[in-house]
Amino acid sequence: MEIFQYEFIRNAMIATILVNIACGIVGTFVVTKRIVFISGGISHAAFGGIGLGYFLGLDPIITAIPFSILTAFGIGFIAKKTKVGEDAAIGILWAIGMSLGIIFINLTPGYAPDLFSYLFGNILTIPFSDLIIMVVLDIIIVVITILFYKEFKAISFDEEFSKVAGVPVDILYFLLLGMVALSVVILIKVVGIILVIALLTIPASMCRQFTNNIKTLIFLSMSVGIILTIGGLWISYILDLASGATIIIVLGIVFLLSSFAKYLFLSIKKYKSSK
Amino acid sequence: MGNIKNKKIQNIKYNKDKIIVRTKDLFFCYNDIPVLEDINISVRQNDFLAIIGPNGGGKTTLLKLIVGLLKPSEGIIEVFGSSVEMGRRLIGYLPQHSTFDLEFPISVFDVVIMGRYKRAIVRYSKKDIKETINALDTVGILKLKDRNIGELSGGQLQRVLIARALARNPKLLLLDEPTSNIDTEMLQSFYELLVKLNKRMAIVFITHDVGAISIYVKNVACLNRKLFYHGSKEGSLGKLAEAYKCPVEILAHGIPHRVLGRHGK
Repeated sequence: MEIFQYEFIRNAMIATILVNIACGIVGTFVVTKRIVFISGGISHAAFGGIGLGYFLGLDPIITAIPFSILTAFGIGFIAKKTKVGEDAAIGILWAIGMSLGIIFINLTPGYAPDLFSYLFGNILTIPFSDLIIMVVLDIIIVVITILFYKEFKAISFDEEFSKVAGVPVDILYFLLLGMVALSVVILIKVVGIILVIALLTIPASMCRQFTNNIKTLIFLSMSVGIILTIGGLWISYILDLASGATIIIVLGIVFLLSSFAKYLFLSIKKYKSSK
Repeated sequence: MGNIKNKKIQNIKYNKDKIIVRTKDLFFCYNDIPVLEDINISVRQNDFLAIIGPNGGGKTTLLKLIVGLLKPSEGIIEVFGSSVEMGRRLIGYLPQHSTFDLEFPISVFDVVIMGRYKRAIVRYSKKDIKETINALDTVGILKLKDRNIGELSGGQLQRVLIARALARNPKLLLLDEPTSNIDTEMLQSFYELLVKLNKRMAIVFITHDVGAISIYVKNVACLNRKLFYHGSKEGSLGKLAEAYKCPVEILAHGIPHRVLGRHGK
């Protein structure tokens, strides 16, 4: 365990846990409410916030927070309140957000250091200050979820009935998109903007095959996420590969294997019961 | 009727003749195409009302307006003497098509308890749990309460959704084609359940099953963009043909009506 003597490894381990707390919770609702592509749109549009950070000379993570929340609300508003349609809203804001990012970086004198780490992530370069931001965002997500768990479950399952039952559906929908935005910010440093969607969706999609309870799904996704992120990190260290991409590949492979295992299990069960 | 205030609707006493839903000059247009025109209808506390009419006649739209899923283009809807948003707390609603995902990881019990929703943040109480159990028992699926909804048959799922509508102990039950997923053997017991429930709540349901109307319901409304008839079932027969705009074979003896003319006979 000598690798733990390095601060960057310790930070990476802490980041792994923080990231998966957010992913376990938000990813569960993203997957069950089927807003994966909205989340993808928010994460790419967050690049505008990163660019703004460079332009203003601030920590890009800080500027990404309001920027991605506004984008999330923008997508939600267009999707819910206009006739443009959700998928078109996602496409439009996705592209606008990224374009703004590019223009901001263009306007910034000099070159943009670490730009790659925002696009593809680098869990090994996370400074302590970013960990603090991640802790704060995690706390916000956890508190909101504890307060509105019943409502998030209801609107994820059946929005129409929830509305009739008196759930403030629109407010909660925007709150959920806001939480997606926050988790995108938490994830950017670890896997990068382009790969955020994988960590949000893969653990929850994988685990939902094995439970019929949202609460269990949240904790299962967190645990599986932590284990596989550490696994991916370890493999990237041994094989000297990009950490973000390796983590996603590990998640992807385990997802495929677990789906196959579930399929085999069901087939065997069917075969046995037919005999 | 004037302006409708968001007044609280708690402690409503059961009074069988009380008007609980009233629409006044109600119009609804979808993309400028009128779906409902000039609907004036009232439902009383002891009503057992069947809404019939051709497909596209606006039946589902009317129910959606009453529960506030759609907003009227013109006119007023009063529910339990209050606005739709307040009054619908006393309504149990069964949609025609459910929008949810059958793969959603949720148990039957957790679906039904959503019918008990009152306000944010507070958790479901012991009473909510008890009423949920009661509702499951009423529709005869208590033993399925821990099943995942994806493992149910169409008929069982329909009963879960009826239990969800019943869980809030409504004073009005709105059912949009409740019999579409119920097999014929179950129909009779389903209608008997409705008759039993009608002792403590008004029931309004959309149906194509005119046979059932003759036996169980008290009133009929014929809807085809306009309200062609609303009154006792005995007076409805002649009006049906007018609403459907085609020859209808309708009888009070359990023979289903025909909406289309006969082919090649």
